Amino acid sequence: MSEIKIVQNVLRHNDEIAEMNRRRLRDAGVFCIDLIGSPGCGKTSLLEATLRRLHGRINIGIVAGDLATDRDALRIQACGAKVVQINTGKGCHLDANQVRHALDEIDLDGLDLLIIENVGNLICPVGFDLGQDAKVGMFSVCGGDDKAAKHPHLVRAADLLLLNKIDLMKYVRFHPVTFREDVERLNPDVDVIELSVTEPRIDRWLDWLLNKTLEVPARTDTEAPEHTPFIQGGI
Amino acid sequence: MHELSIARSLLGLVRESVPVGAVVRSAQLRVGPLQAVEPDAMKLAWRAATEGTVFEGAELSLTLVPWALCCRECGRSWSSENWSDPCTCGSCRVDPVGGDELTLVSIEVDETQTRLGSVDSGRAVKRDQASTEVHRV
Repeated sequence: MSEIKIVQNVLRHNDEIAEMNRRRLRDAGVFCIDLIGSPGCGKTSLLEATLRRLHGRINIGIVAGDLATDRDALRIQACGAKVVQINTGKGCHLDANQVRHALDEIDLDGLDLLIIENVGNLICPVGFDLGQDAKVGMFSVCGGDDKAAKHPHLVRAADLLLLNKIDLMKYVRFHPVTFREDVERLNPDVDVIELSVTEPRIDRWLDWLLNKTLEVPARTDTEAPEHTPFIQGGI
Repeated sequence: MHELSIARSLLGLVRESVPVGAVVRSAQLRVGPLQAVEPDAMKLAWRAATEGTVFEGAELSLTLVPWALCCRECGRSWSSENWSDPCTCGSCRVDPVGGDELTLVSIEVDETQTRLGSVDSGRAVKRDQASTEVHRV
């Protein structure tokens, strides 16, 4: 019997494809986020509200990951966005290769921002790099204030956290201090934006999104869109 | 069940690393807490991924790496199963460090045997000389 030392990252191939996706998006001047949250936390509703508010300001494409059905894609399409649906079947997360194929179906040169709505799941998608510039984790107050503590991998990996349905806080057991303390311990650098998609109160999110999108060097053949903040005085 | 995706990737890596004609007896995997891997699910996924291949029956050995923690107040470092442990100095201002490891450390092979008649025997032929090192045990 022989032992062969290997010492290699198991997800190396996924990471290599993710890096190809990232380069491709950067070359096209597209900022890309991977939106991760549990089923029902409001990801698709947030995308609908975002598309309506940013219509005419920046060009947004959506990749919608779901186990089955094209219902999310149809909802997003109704808002006028370019959308590619990925049905994963029994797969509980998207991987870089699925996103690579989705990118083939999108005219990246016509986009400023690409949002990948991952399969509704707080666990499995976290470890799979897709080629995004930022990973955004989404919670809702209805899920309870312990969800950050119970999903440390998402909180640690996130570049931004969204806390949705704050208009329902008075009806559910949710202590914002507990949630924020857990987040702060796990990832002191991450910002948490509270929002309500149904009211909608999403201005801080929109400003974050526009600021990040406009940080990406635009292609030389196009003019960068201008950004007037939704919240006056900065965020 | 992202363990199945991990198992498939792991199988690809093992396939690249095994010498021609050798039989893989086991694979050693190190997993950090941020990977959220459940050991029983991982082993089940490995069995499913290897079924019907020349790697069927190879054992998967998991080493679960605990959280590495560092106290912001006194600077003490330690490891724990629980990321929210307070420090012995009484501080709750404790930072988890790293934790995203997912590494195939090594494989154990029997080089004196080959499995004939396997449906997958033709695939295990590629060996990456640059990335492998053989130790006799």
